[in-house]
Order: sequence, then structure tokens, then C-alpha cells
Amino acid sequence: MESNLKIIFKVALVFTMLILGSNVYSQDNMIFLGRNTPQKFVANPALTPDNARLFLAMPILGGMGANISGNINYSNIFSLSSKKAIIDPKHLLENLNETNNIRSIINLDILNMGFRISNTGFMGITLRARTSIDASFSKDAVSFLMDNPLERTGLFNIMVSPDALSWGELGISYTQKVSKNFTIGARVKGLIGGVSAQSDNMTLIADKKFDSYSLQGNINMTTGNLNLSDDGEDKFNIKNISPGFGIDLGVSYLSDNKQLNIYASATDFGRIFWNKKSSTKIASSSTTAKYNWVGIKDLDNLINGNKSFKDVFDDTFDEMTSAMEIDTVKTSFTSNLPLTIQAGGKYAFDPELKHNISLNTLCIIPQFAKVYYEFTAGYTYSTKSKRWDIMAAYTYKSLNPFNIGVGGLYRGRGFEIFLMTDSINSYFNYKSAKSANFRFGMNFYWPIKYKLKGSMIW
Amino acid sequence: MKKLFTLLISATLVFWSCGVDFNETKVPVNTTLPLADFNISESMLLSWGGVKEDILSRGDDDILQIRKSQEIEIGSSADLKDLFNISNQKFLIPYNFGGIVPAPIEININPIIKLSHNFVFEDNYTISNATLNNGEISFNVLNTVSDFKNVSCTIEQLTKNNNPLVIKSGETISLAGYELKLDNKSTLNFYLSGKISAKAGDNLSNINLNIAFSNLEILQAKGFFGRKEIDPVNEFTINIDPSIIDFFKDCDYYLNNPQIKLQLSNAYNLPILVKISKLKIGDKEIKLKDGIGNSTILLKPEYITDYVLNNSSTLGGKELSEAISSNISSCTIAFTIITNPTKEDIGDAAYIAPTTNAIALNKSIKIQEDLLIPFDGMFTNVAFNQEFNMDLDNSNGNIYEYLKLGITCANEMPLNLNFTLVAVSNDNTESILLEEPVNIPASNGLRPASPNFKAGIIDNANAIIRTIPGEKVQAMITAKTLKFVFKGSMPKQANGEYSKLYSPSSLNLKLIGNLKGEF
Repeated sequence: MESNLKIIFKVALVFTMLILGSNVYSQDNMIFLGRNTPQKFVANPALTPDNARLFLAMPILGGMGANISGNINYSNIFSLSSKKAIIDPKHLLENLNETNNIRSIINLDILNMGFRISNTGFMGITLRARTSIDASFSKDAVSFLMDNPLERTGLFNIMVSPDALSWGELGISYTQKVSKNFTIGARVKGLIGGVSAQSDNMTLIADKKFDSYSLQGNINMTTGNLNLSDDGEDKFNIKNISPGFGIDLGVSYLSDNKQLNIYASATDFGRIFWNKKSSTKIASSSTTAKYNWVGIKDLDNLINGNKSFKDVFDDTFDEMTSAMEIDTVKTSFTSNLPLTIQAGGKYAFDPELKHNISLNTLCIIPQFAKVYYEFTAGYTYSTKSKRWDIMAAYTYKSLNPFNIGVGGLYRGRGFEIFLMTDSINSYFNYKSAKSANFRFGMNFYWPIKYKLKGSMIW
Repeated sequence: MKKLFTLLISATLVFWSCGVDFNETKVPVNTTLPLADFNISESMLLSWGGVKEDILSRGDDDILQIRKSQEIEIGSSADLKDLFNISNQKFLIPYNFGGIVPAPIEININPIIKLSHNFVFEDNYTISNATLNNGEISFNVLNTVSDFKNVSCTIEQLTKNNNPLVIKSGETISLAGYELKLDNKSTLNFYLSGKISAKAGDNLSNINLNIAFSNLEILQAKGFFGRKEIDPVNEFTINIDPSIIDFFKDCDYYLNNPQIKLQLSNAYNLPILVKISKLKIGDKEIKLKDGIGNSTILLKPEYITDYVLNNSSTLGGKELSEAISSNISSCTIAFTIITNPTKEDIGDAAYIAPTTNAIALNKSIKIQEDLLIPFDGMFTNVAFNQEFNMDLDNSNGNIYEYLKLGITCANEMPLNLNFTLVAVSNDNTESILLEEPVNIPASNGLRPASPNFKAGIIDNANAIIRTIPGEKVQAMITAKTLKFVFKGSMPKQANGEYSKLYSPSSLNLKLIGNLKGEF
């Protein structure tokens, strides 16, 4: 068996670093403060864009943004020297909790379009590439790597649990106005699994002495389309199809005077069935099996020149996985999509819908990682011309309690453009921000020809 | 639209201002990982010093020794061949068949005529029974014109397949495979029979019967083969392996107990005295004490005799050590052999020599000669260096601040060692990684299994740290090979006795590395 433990460490490290440093576009509450846009329609299939006969979100640029949410902030991790980000281990370790969580979703909307098929019916087509990354890691996992001088001895509780999966989805939605006030929507999605690495709780306890470690722990991880077995085939192979399905549901209530809108959605009910040919499961069959890690022992092969240091180092990892009863097998398994539940309401104080307040909540339930949630209270001002929406909000996030959001949306003839963030404070003081969020969008519209009472005509 | 662009540009600027180049992000690492747990056995360490492992073995007292062997075979070939060769025998026997023949006549020899003649051997050589490997017998009748061609000579003491040898006048017969039996006087009897055709006037009174044996060679024989001194049999030289010569080349050394072990296998039923007539180590001749067990060895018949030649066999008592410690190049030894040695040869009045021997052509005397040089003594400053291929990942752009090595060890060998690490780059530039070598003290010199044995440890805490600075870590990571450079000395013990390197014993060396840098 090849040194899978080493690969696990590498993968875990890469995921951690990816999360700490990636540009991501996430679902958030901020989009619900504005008018109904295609981006809102993706999050709740009952919320069709206002007065559109046909809409098309600009591919890729239709949604662009960044979101990091964690219980550590930027300056905890990095110290800046010119444009180089240097992770400062001292600050990082001082500010880490014993257990740390970071989450993000990356969505790339390749196609997001919709069209009205009747006075009450609306259809949408979406083609999206998506990645959901959650990670939990212990402080010791970082200190093992970053603050582990020779003189330090004792226990390290190394917990690194990635829950990351990516997939592509083609969705077809249908939205129906079922009564004067109620609209419901559903989206059925066909999925193709990209790659995944998921673990519920991977912990390695390393008891360090001056010249060796005693290792034991619970190692478990599934990797979809990432072959970690030593069968000589490619590590990454997405030619073997891993199919899946998903369902998004939404409901919306709009009062007769349009001043109150209440809505809820549950998206990403679904599963991916990872194929057996290139997916693996790594599991330790014993949590008590110990390995006394002393480094390279294979002196004879080194002397004979049969093996290099690198070879025998790999052999040491093999011996480790064998002693700790860690097996890697090719297998099929299923992953649940991270279920997202969103609900909220918007109330306009005046019949012209100029002054609006809103309350929104979002909850993401990943398969293994911790549940993530956020609450947003917001205010939106719409100009009389209805060309501008200006918004401000406060968001409480489960990983970060203080976020002030601002945003602006401009609608011109046949198009709209918006820019918003749920955490403007992070840009003024980004070094201490525990979240970063940014949305930019551009959409194109072909307005409806017939009038709906109370709606705007362009 | 102007407002829109203003908004877009400001937003872009905001994000660019806080956007950092994550490709340039460095992950600082200060981690400690076990590097190696090496068990370096005594023979492995010596092989690092250039000694070929196949000439090392474990001696009688579990002391590691250099062993060089060769087998010498004496017998069957040239030197002892005399034992198997019987000198040519020519029997000229006069016989009177009855004077001058008056008229042509055919004489029937009746009764059969018995004639006798003794075999003539050198010294005290006798044969009671022998199978011949080779030889011819010829029978001729001389001094007559009569026709003796119908006269046969039968020799009952020469048989093949239980049939006696019958030879007619004028014939020559090969004796290969014939069995010869002789009495204690070595008398051979001939029986003449047949018909003589004589012409008128032939004189039959003074006929010489000529029976000749030539080229006789024994395949196997019983008898007594006498005292023969063969001097010298040959000179045999054991050349010490060049790796040993190199090993001791540049160091002071003294080897306390070298030995020459001989195992002498005498397959003959014949006592043999072997005298070491010459012993040379390199160019120096070693004088041995006289007498059995010193320079002479009595090989009993059909017996394997073990013999050890050591310092105590020498006249001065130390010559072997001194000679080997000054020149370890070769060992030359020559033997004199005496068959059926006498009491005087042996120097033992009580010796009772056997009166019968047995020899066989396919048998021999074999001497297994082992030159044994135990690591019992002292030496100084021998290099034990070993290179290993590195072939590590060579990640560019990493910054190494230092690599601290934690070192612990248990040295079971009575060797004071010090070591450092050297990185050899692809262009063969050497970089010493540990400026200050690590000193590993010797064990207390006892056998590792003994209760009072104490392994040598580094300092008292056995937990020392050496730091390799960043630029040398870079050299190490990118090295072609990593060289362990050991120097070792085997000193005398505190009580003045020489040290002994026991087998098995080992140096256990543990290395743990604390790497600080940015990746």
C-alpha cells in the first residue's frame, strides 16, 4: 500500500489552506434584501425574477464573489509583508480554539436562465459547478506542524476532518402561482460528482518523546473520484461517472398590497453515488492499535542502493498504516449534498415599496461537518424610479457574530447589475475579519408584455 | 452610467487593496518528525570501513574475526606419489631343462615347475595386498633357440576376477586391475607349464627366464610403506584480503590474538608427521617452538587433527601478533611430511608405531588452513564512511531556517566513535552538515549479554541536539547523496587489557529532526 497517510495529511493540509485562501461565492442572506433576481431564483425556485418574460444571468460573471466564514480571522493567520501573505504561527495558535471550523461554498453558474410559459407558470434552467468545503481541525493539528520544536514532548491531539465535495448539476425548475398570494417552485437536478474528500472525525493521537512518536487514532475518510489505493491507476480520474440527483423546493407568499413577502426554501436535497472504479474508503479498523514511529529503519536497502531515502520513507508510512490497521479499499459510497434551508420575510412600510425591512435565516447542514447558520436583519431603500435598491444589514453568523452588510442594485433597460457584501466591516478591517463576503452580478431581461397589477413595466 | 462605473471601480479597488497573492503565501513550519532508527551491526560498521563482510565471522569466543581460508591437498598428486609407485622388478631366473638336445624333440613340462623370486622394495616397504592401477608384466626366455612359445607362466598371486595371471613366453600383459598378494618375504611364485620344441643341438641347460614388472602403480594397498620424508611438500601462501590491508593502512593497531588454525584430514591408514618448516607473515619469518603442538603435528591414521598455531607457539611468545601488527599482507606456510614417523621423529619414547598401513590412490591428506585475526586488540582512527542515495523531493522556493537533529544512541561496541553528516551535491561538492561531530563513547568492553555490560551513550543525558543551519539544510535536501562519516578507535580497556569486539553487537542510533522554515 502506498503511503496513504501521507496523502491524507497532504490532502487535509491542502484543503485547510484552500479554505483559508480561496475566492468563493456562497449562498447568503444578503441577496434576499433586494428585488427578485436570478440569483435569488437559484436559492429559492419560488422567487422568479420580477416581470421577466425571459432572463439570462451573465454566464460566470452572473455571480461572482468571495466568502470565508470561520472562527478565526485573517490577521490571526496572516501577517502581511508587501503582497506576500505569511502565516504567523504565533498569532494563529494564540487565536485558535481547541476545535476550529471553516466553511465555504463555491458556485460557478455557467448557465442560469428562465422564461415565462404562462401567466402563472415559469420555467428555469441552471447549469452550475459547485463545491462545498467544510473543515474542522484541532489546534494541535496546527501546532504539530507549526509549533512543534524538538524540546516539546507529550500528547498531540491531531484532528483534521475535511468534508469537501464538488459536483456539477443541471437543473430544470418549474414555478407555479397557485393562488393570488402563493407561489411554489421546484427544481429537479441531475448531478455528476466531481471529487470529494470527506471524514466525520479523523483524529490521530501522537505521544511525542525525545526520539520517537507513539501513534494511535481513528483514521477514516472517503474520497470520491480520488483513488488513493495503490492499484497503479491514476489518483484523479473523473472519467468514471459518479451520478447523483438533487431537488430544490421553494414557497413564497406575497400579500395583496405587495408590502409583505414571506418565503422559504430547502435546496440540495440530494445524493451523489460515487463510482467504485476510482473512489476509495480509508478506515482504521482499530483505534487502539499503536505504532511506534521512529523513522527509517531499513538501513540494509539504503546501503545496498536498492532503495533511496524517499523509498524507505514511503515504506515507513506503509508500515505505519499497517501497524495502525488502516486499510484503503476501492469502493462505492454515497455522499449527501449539504442541505440548505433558507427562510425570511420582507415588509414594506409604504405602498410605493420604498422602505423595506427584512429578516432572513439560513442554515446549511453538511453531511459530516458542523451545522452552519446565520441570521440577517436588513433595511432596503428602493428609489421611486425603481432603478436603485440600496441595502444595509446586520448578520449574525454561527462562526462570526458581527457583520454589517451593504449593497446596491441598479436596473437599467434590459439589464441589472448589483454589488453587495454581508460583511463590509471585513473590508475596512480585513485583518481582523472572520468572514469575507462579496457578490457581483449582472443579468439580462426581456420584460413581459402584459401587465400584472402593481408591477413595473419597462 | 457614470455612477455605475464609479461604483464598479471603487469596489474593484477595495478588493485589490486587500487582495494578496496567495500563490506567494508561505506556510511556516516548525515541526519535528522521526528521521531514523539505525541499527548498525559491528560487521556492517566494519564494512563501512571497507572490510568485505564475507571475510568476517564470529569466532569461538563470540569475538568478531577476520577469517581467510584455503584448502591444501597433499597426496594423490606429486608429493606423496612415491608411496604408490613400485620400482620396476626384473626377475632373471636361470633354469636347467636338461642339457643339449640330441634330436628334435617336444618336451612336455611335467610336472609343473615352480620358481620363486622376491619383490625388491626400498626401505621397509612391504605389500601384503595391493590392487594395481597400472603396470605391465612381460615374460621372455633367453639363451636358447628352442621354441618356448607354448610355455606358460602362471602367477597365482596376481589375479583378476579370481583368475590367476597366465602369461606365455614373449607376451606382455597389462596389470591394471590385477590384485597382488605377497607374503611377508615378498616372494612371488611362478609356475611353468606347456611344451618346449627343441631342435637338435639346442642347449637347454642354462635357460634364463626373464619376468619383468614395469610402471607398477598401486590403486590401493595394504602393507607397510616405510618412513619417507618429503621436504618441503610445498609453500602455501594466504594473501590477506586487500580490504583488510586498506582498513589498517593508516592507523596504529595491535592484534592481540591472531591464530592460524589447521584442520588436517589424513585419509590414509598411515601415521604422518607434519612439520611446519617455514612460517612467514609478510616478509617476516616466525620462529616456532619445537615439538608436537608447536611446530609439529602428528596425524593419526584415518583421523582429522585440529591444530592451532598462535603466539604461544612462537619462540618469543608474541611474534605472530607483532608480525601481523606490522605487516598484515600475507601468510606463507611450508610443511615437511614424514610417513610412518619413528619415536625419534616424534620425540616420544612411548610412541608405538603401527606395523601395517593402508593407502589408496584416491585418498589424500587435506589441510584446511584458516588465518584468523580476531578484533581483540586496539586500533585508532579508522574511517567508517557510508554514502546513501538521497533522491528526496526537491521543492523549490522553500525557505529553511534550520534543522535541529535530536540524537540518542546505544553503543554496544568497545569503539569510541564520532560522526558527522556530509551532503554531496550533484557536482560532487561536499558540505559538512554537522560542524561539531557527535562523539559516541565506547561500551564498557564487556560482552553485550553479560549482566554488568554498559552501552556507550552520548553525554550523560543521551539526548543531544545539533543544529544544521538553513543553507546547509538546502544542500541536504538537494543532495545527490548523504554521507555518514564515522571515525572510530578501539582503545585498551581501563584495566589495561585489550578490547574485544563481540558479535553480535551494534550501534543503535536514533535521529529525530526539527525542521523550521517556510513552505
